[in-house]
Parts: sequence; structure tokens; C-alpha cells
Amino acid sequence: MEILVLNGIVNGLIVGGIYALIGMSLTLLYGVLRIVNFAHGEFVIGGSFLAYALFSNLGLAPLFSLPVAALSFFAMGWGAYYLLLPRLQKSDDPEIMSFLMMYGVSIALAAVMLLIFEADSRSIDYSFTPISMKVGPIYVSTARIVAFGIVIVLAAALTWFLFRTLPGKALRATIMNPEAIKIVGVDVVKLSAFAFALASAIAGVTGVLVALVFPAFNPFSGAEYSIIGFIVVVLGGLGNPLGALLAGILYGLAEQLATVFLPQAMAPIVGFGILVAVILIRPTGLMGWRAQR
Amino acid sequence: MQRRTFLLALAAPVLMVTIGASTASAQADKPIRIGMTVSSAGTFALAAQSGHRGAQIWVDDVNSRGGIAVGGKKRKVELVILDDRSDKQLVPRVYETLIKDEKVDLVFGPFGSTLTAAAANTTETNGTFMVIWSASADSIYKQGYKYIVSATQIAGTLLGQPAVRALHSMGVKKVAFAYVDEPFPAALTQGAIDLAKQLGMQVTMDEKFAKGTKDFNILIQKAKASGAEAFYPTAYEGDQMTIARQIRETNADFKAVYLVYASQPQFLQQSGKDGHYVFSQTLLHEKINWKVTHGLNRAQMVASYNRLFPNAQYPGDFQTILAYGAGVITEEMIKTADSLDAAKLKAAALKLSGKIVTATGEYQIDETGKQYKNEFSIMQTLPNGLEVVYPPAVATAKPVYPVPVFAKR
Repeated sequence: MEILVLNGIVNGLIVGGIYALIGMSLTLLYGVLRIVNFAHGEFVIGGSFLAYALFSNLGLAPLFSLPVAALSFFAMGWGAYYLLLPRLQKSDDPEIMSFLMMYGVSIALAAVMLLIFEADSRSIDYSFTPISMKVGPIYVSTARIVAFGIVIVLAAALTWFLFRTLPGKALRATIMNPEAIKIVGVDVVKLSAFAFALASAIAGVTGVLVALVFPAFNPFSGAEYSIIGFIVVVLGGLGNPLGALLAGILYGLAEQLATVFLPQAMAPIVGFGILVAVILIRPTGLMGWRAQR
Repeated sequence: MQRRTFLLALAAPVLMVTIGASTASAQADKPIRIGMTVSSAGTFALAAQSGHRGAQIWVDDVNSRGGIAVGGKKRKVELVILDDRSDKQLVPRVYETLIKDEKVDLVFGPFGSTLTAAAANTTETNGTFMVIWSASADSIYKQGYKYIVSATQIAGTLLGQPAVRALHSMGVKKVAFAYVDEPFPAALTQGAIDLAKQLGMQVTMDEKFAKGTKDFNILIQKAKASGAEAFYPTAYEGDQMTIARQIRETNADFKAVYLVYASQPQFLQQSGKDGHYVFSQTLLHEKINWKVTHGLNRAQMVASYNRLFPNAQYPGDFQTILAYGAGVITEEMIKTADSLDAAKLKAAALKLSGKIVTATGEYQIDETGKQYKNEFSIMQTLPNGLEVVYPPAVATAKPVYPVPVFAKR
């Protein structure tokens, strides 16, 4: 049993780290732009398919796909922002309208991936050498260790960016009080485009990590990651990237440890149970703040 | 628009008198008309069309031999195809059209349990004999229907049993089961567990997991910790790819692992070394060659497929051979009954039980029409390719058991 618990903790941290990345990018979008990005899971799976395509066609190892995914998704996000969102912000209820529009985008993206890659599940036939490492008494996949390392670096970099740089502080200020940031002369449109591009880049990178950690994916896998992302966002507190980090890891740990003690089918119930409990006890989420509107 | 006109208009674009009728000479008896629905769109389209090609191969073969003797005269076979659009609401009406308007003599079922269950009520009410080729749900055979026979598709609860028999014959005594919480994997696993217990094997784990589960690490560890020699997780192809990878990553050295879809081309292509030494099952593979008593053998059937469908998007698969085998058995039923009457055909179907081996495998039914044989063959993915390891009648190699530990591969 001790080994199973240890496995649960280690896997919970790793899987939770992936969930946290999804949540962090999603919450950044919501915080800055008030966009409910229902297509975020498709962005993530898009990253997985990018890694798959680069590996299948060019033999590029998934780790080398990371910068490609980051840059290409950043550029796509920047373009998508100007294509889709400025007009949306002028609607009476941007949040609802964004939900509807991004739901449509999610269907469209899944259809595009279906067209290109067909409905079969895909997997990158790539493994690190050695394929797993012995950590104490348990074996942990090398891909997972690498993915977790990247999650830590990305989370630290994002935290440093948000708390130590001027654009990062501007993003946080936008989350806290969008009206005030306009008054002090910040170009909110450009800042929003940057936030959308940054969130897209993180989603793309997360997709590459997803392909390493959960090997099989298909064009319709995105919706599952969107749901996980929303759980993490609500659990951590809407618009709070650090809350999403904490919530992702908590959700991953709960899911994995529940599997140790309960039938695997109960794991989602435990995760949702925690979500409901947090909403009941602390409606703003674990690290939610009450922003001025 | 009247109902009949509406249905004909609906079906008109795909109404195809596929083979046989045009070549029937004026002096020949009228053809035996067999109705069937095929999905032009929707969830079941690919599988239904694959099965349709199998039925066409049989019709081509039987007509090339002059047809089937009924009442002392040879009659050619004509397939009458209508579209069901993968829609279980539409299926009963389309089968009614086949029976009442197209006046078919008997029918082949549509693809899959969902549509077949919807069709069976109509065919039974109209006293029309239905040959099922792809419905595995046990519930269909518990309805008391008199005129249905699953010619080739083995029942869901029996689908997973050949693997258990194979594992038992290798000497496995402890098995851990897991399955995704969906009707097909649940039925397959339950049947496998029942048989394992009957054979005196110890079931060390019986756990279901939710659809959408992405991480199987703990499940694999639990199976290992349960003391299982063999691990038998059942899910769909994508999940099984993940499971195969994670078994390897966690260094979980079971003596045998069985993954139902691991011999599908897509799995083999995507999973690479993860799939090595894994046991699986299939019906159609170049190495599965039953000594047939009736109809074409596997190689001849594949040759017919290539001749008749040179532009098909996909090669023949197990749906193709299921439908082809059902055609061969239908032919024998008609010959034995010497009639197209539903009750006589059912009596003939029962009389033939246990006496036919087609390219699909052995045929054996009970009074309900449920198929007990025609089992999938058990394959093992060796580093140099797939081998048939069970049943002995078609085995091409001995199973590698226990499989080599990961450290020594």
C-alpha cells in the first residue's frame, strides 16, 4: 500500500502540474480578457498534434517541438485575437458571447484536426532512454519526470513574469481593475492580444507535454482538457494564475490518491466533490480575489 | 406526401440492386431478394459499408455458381439495399419498407447492436427471417424473437472468453481485470471473468474506470500489487495505447497482458515497442486460416474483395469477413430448409449448428439464435510481427509465455 500511495503522490504531482498549466493559461485569458475559452482544450490538443506531425514527418523529438509549439501558437494566438476578439468586446455581454463563439471555434478546430489527422487515436512512438527511472521504491516514467521539470520551469517563469516585469504587472493590474489600467494609459488592446498569444503559447506547449504524459490523443480529446481547465480555474479562483497552479496540483493529487483507495471510476467524483466543497465554503476559489468591476 | 412515397424518396439515392438481377435471364426463376440496410452516413457508416462489401462478395460468389437451389430450381441472389443513416429511429421504418414494399424474402441485419435491436422488432412482427452479422448485445437474444440468427457475430459476453481460454492454456492462474464503464467492454469483461472463475483461475482485481480516464498508472500498479500474473484491461483503442505505454513505463512485468484491440493496424502502427508481446484478438488476418467447410477461404475472400472493390478506401476488415461468413451460412440455411419460410429457415439454422466452418470460423447457435462459436483468434505481437497463438486449429506459433521482462527486451 505504501508504494501505491507513493505512486499516487508522485503521479498526482506530475498530472496535477499538467492540469495546472492548462488552468494557468485559461485563467490568464479569463482574467485579462473576460473570455471563457471553450476551445482551450483544442489548443492543447493542437499542440499534441503539432508534436506528432513534427515527429512523424521530420523525426523531431517532442522536446524540440516545445519551442516550435510556443512560437507558432504565440503567433496564431496573436492573429486569432485580432481576427476574433476586438469586436466581441463591444457586445453587451462579452463573457456569454465569448463562450458561444469559442464553443464554435472548438467545434471548428476539432473538425480541422479530424480532417487532417482522421478520427483514430494517435500516439508519438517516442520514448526517452531509459524509459523510466527508479525513484526510491517506484518506477517513474522519464517522460513524466521531464514533463514535470518543464512544468516547474514554465510555472516559475510565468510567476516571475507576472510579478517582476512591467508587462506582467500590467496584466495583473488588468485582471484586478481593467478600468484603472485604461486610465493610466496602458494600451489595453495590445496587452489583451499579448495575453491571448501568451495563453495560446502555453496551451501549445502543454499539448506537447500531454503527448508525452498521456500518449494517446485524438481530435476530440480537447473537450476533456477544457473541462479540466475550467475545474482548475474555478477551484483556484477566477483569474488567478497562482491559484490555478495550486488548484491543478491539488486536483491531480486528489484524482490520483482517490484511485489508490477507491475504484478508479470514483476518481472524477472525488475531484468534482472537492470543487463543489470549495465553491460552497469559499466561492471565490482557493486564491480568488474580489476584483473591482 | 404519402408514407410509402416518402420512404422511397428517402431511400432512392442509395437504392441499389447490387448484383445479380440484371444478369438474370428471362427463363430463370426470380431471384432470392435479401434486404439489408447500410449506413451512408453517421457513426456506423464505415463499419456498415465494410460489412456490405462482405455481403456483396458472398452474392458474387453464389451467383457465379448459379445461385441457390430452392424447390429444385437454382435461384440467383439479389441484395436490396436501403440507407439507415446510422439512425435507430429510422431503421424500423426502412426494414418495413424492405419487407412490405420491396417484398424481400429475408433480411440481413444492419450494423451493430443498436440498429439490429431496432430492426428486430419489425422483422419479427412481420414474420421475416433476419440473419445477424454484427450485433453482439446479449439482450437481443433474450427478447424471445423466433426468427433471428446471429450467423457470425459472437455474443458480447462471449467475446472476451477466447483470451481467457488462451491464458488458461498457457498456465495463467491469477488475472486482474479492468474495463472502461461502457456496455461493450463491461459485457466482454463480465463474460471473461465468469469463464476465468469457471476454469478455476483467481480473479485478483475487477475494477472499472470512467470514460475519459487519461492516466492508468495507479490502475496498473494496483493490478500488479494484486498479485496478478496476467492483466486484462478492456477499453477502446486510444485508451489501450496509453495503457500499453504506461505498463512499459512503470516497468510492470506481468507474465501476460491482453488488450483486445492490440492487433488492429492502427494500434500496431502507433504503439511500436509498447505493443510487443501483448496478446489481442481479431477475425481477419493473413495468418488466420480456418479449414473451411463452406464458402471461400480467407485468401479467396480477400482476393474477391480486391477484385470487386479495387477502389475501396480501406482493405477488408473483420466486419467484411463477418458479413461474408453470414452470407455463406445463409446459403446453407436456405439449401437445408429448401424454402424461404422464416420458421423453416430457423429450423435449418439450428440443424446446421456445429456443422459449418467458414472463413470467419465455426458456427454454433442456440434456440435464441445467439452465436456461441465463431470466436476471435488470439494473436500475440512478437517483435517480428503478429502470430496466431490460439485456438490450436489456426495457431501459427506457440505463445511466448511468460513474456520477457522489460529489462531484457
